Amino acid sequence: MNRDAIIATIIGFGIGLGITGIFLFGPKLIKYLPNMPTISFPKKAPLPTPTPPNLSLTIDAPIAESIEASNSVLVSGSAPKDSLLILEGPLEEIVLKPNGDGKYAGKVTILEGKNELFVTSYVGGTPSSQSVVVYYTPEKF
Amino acid sequence: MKKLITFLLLLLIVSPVLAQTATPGITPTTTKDKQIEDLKDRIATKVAELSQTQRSAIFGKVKAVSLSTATIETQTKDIKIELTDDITIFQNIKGKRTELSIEDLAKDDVVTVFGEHDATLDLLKAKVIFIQGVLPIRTTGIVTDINKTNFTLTVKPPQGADITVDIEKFTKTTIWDGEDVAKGGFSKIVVGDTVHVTGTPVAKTENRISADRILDLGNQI
Repeated sequence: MNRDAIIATIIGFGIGLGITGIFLFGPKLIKYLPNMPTISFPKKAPLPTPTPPNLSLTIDAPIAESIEASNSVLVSGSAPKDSLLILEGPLEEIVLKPNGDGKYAGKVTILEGKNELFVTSYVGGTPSSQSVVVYYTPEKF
Repeated sequence: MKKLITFLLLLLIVSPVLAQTATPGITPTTTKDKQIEDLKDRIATKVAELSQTQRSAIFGKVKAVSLSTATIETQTKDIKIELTDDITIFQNIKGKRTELSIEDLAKDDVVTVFGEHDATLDLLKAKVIFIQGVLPIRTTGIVTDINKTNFTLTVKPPQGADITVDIEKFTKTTIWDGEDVAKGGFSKIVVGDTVHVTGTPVAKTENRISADRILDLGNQI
C-alpha cells in the first residue's frame, strides 16, 4: 500500500467513526444543550359557529318547462318556517304554511298550454317570490 | 453419465409443454352469448336514439305560416316547425275545446307547440298545437287607494309603478282571515291590505288590470 491509500483509509475510518458516534451518543448530548428561545405564533381566536341561515324560498317541483301528465300539479319546495305562503295557478290561489322542517306542498290546477305558477312567501310582511313554467295537454304524443 | 445427461435434456424439453395451460376463450362461442351481445348492442342503440329526442313544448306567437311550415317567435328565438298531416290543432272556442285544421293556424296566433325535440338537429317535430288565448297577468302589493265610485283599487307592488285594478262584475274576491280563506267582497278591502290580483291587461292602457280574482291577505301579515 502506498502512502495515499493509507491516508485515505485513515480519513474514511475517521468519518465513519464520527457518524457512528453521532447516532450512538447524539440523543444523550442534546439533553445537555442550553434551552434555546423558541418563536411562538399567536393563536387565532376561534371563529364563531355561523348560525344556519333561514331557509330561502325554493320550488323543488314541478320541474321547470316540464310537460305535466295531468291538469293537477303538486307544487312543493322549501320556505322559511315562520312564513305565510301563497301558491298561485291560472285558476286559483292557495294559502298555506310550511311544516316544521320548512317544507311545503300544495296542488294547483293547470290549463292546457303554458302555465306559470307562482309561490310567494311573506316573512314579517316582506314578500319573496319564485315562479315556474309548466305545460299541459291531454293529447298523447 | 451420458444417460443421465440425455434424461435431463429430455426433461427440459418436455416439461414446458406439460406446463402450458389451455388458452382461455376470447370470443363468445355459444349461441346464448351471441344473443346477449346482440341484445346489448340493440339496447345501446335505443338509448342513444332516445337521448337524442325528448318531449318538449314551446310557447310563442306565430310569426309566419305557409302550407308546410310555421315559424314560432318565442322569447329567445324563432323556431321553425313542419306542418305535417299528423299534427293536431286545438283551441278553446266559447269555452269548448275544439279541434281545428292546419289551415286555421294564422299569423299572430299565440300558441303552445308540443312535440319531440331532436337535440342533434335542434329541431322540434310538432305533434300538437294549442292556440292559446291571452295569458293571465298578476300583481301583488299593498292597497293604497280605493275608488268606490269607479270600483277600482290602486295597488303598490314591491317594485315598479302602481297598478290600477278594475273590479268587474265577474271578479271573485276571497279573504284570508289568519286561519282560512273565505268569500270576500270589494267592500271588505281596506287601504293597507296586501292583495294578490289575477286578471287580464286592459287594452291600450299601461299598468291597469281587469281583475278575475283578488285574494285579500289583510294587513296582519
